[in-house]
Amino acid sequence: MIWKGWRRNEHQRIQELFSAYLDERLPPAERAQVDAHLRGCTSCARELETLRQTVDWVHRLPPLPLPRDFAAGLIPSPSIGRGYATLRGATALAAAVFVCMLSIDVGSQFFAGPAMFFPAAPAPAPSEESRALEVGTPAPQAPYTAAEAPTPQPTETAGAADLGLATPPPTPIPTPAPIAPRVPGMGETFEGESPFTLSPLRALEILALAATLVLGTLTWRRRAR
Amino acid sequence: MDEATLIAAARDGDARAFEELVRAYQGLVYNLAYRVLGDGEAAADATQDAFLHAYRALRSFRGGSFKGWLLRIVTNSCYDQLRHRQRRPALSLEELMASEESEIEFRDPGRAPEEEVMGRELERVIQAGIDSLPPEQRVILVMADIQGLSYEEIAHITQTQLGTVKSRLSRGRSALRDYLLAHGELLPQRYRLKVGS
Repeated sequence: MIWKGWRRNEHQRIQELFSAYLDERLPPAERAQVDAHLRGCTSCARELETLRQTVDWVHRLPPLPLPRDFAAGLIPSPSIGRGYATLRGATALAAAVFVCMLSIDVGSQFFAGPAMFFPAAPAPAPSEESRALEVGTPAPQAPYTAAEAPTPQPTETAGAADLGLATPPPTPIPTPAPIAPRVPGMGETFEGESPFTLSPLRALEILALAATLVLGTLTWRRRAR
Repeated sequence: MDEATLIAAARDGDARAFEELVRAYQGLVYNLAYRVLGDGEAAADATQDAFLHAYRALRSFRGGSFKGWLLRIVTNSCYDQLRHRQRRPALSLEELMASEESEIEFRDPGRAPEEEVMGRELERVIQAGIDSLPPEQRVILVMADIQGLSYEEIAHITQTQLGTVKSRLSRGRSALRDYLLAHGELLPQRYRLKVGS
């Protein structure tokens, strides 16, 4: 019984040396022990053979081709980094300009009066008198048409001419001064004016918004690369 | 440009020099990761992580074997992947089939079709046997028998004693042999191990 246990332990001890034996990494004394054991033990010799076959197969496993080049895109190049930083800065600048323009626009409308935001009932049309006063034309004395306009009749004036008296020159009727075009306020259009007319400030706003969107898209695409 | 010059340049921030180093070692690193993890996608992730980590940690490289330093990093990356896998649920059938399909793309087209099929079957069973080993034995067996590293190199990379390397390799090889004996029916006749009576 003790002898059988010793023999089993001896086989086990020898078999544990097989790996280093195959790699020729055993000290000479142990290698000699293994050689001596193998000469008298066919079971351990078969164990060694199967282990040798296993190791040989593993050695012959082919190298695997790479699924991709791991060097490509591993580290972002400095030029890409600089371009990205420039784009990001330009986007931020365009966005800041847009916000400033929008603030000015909204502020100017707000301070122009609450009527811009809370329009009251339409004011009554200016009377003829007030309009005439505004443009500097004298108010007509009485409504009449051009056809009804009184033609100068030779009255005593003609008689004075006949008498050799100088007649005073006719008083010139003042012509109406041209009405200076009024510049509409922000977002304000006159009746009959196109609603699509842009003020310079509004045009700049749209330009800044468009620039922000375009630059933002470019920045996002560069970052995703 | 030799390796030392490339390492020095990469340490100074030269990305192109580091890319040269990556191209020189990516085959070794990816193969180690694939054989340890048994999965192409996980191996690619581990390889990528390892190179990124190496780039960031390049200043801490104190000389010696760059290959050994890199293999230590990818070994740790593989251990991370294995820990992550333990936390993940098992792969679905669709994922398993997809991974097997992707493996077929890696075969050598130069071999004869019959040899190709038999070799593929043998390789698949060997890889399954490697996957069945404990991670410590697996890493050492792959380094020794696939990468061809010496016991001393493996001890340096895994930061273990030489005796530990020998014993783990011995146990790993024996366990793989036992696996192939137990799954002999999966192999073509000529590849079956015979113990004899």
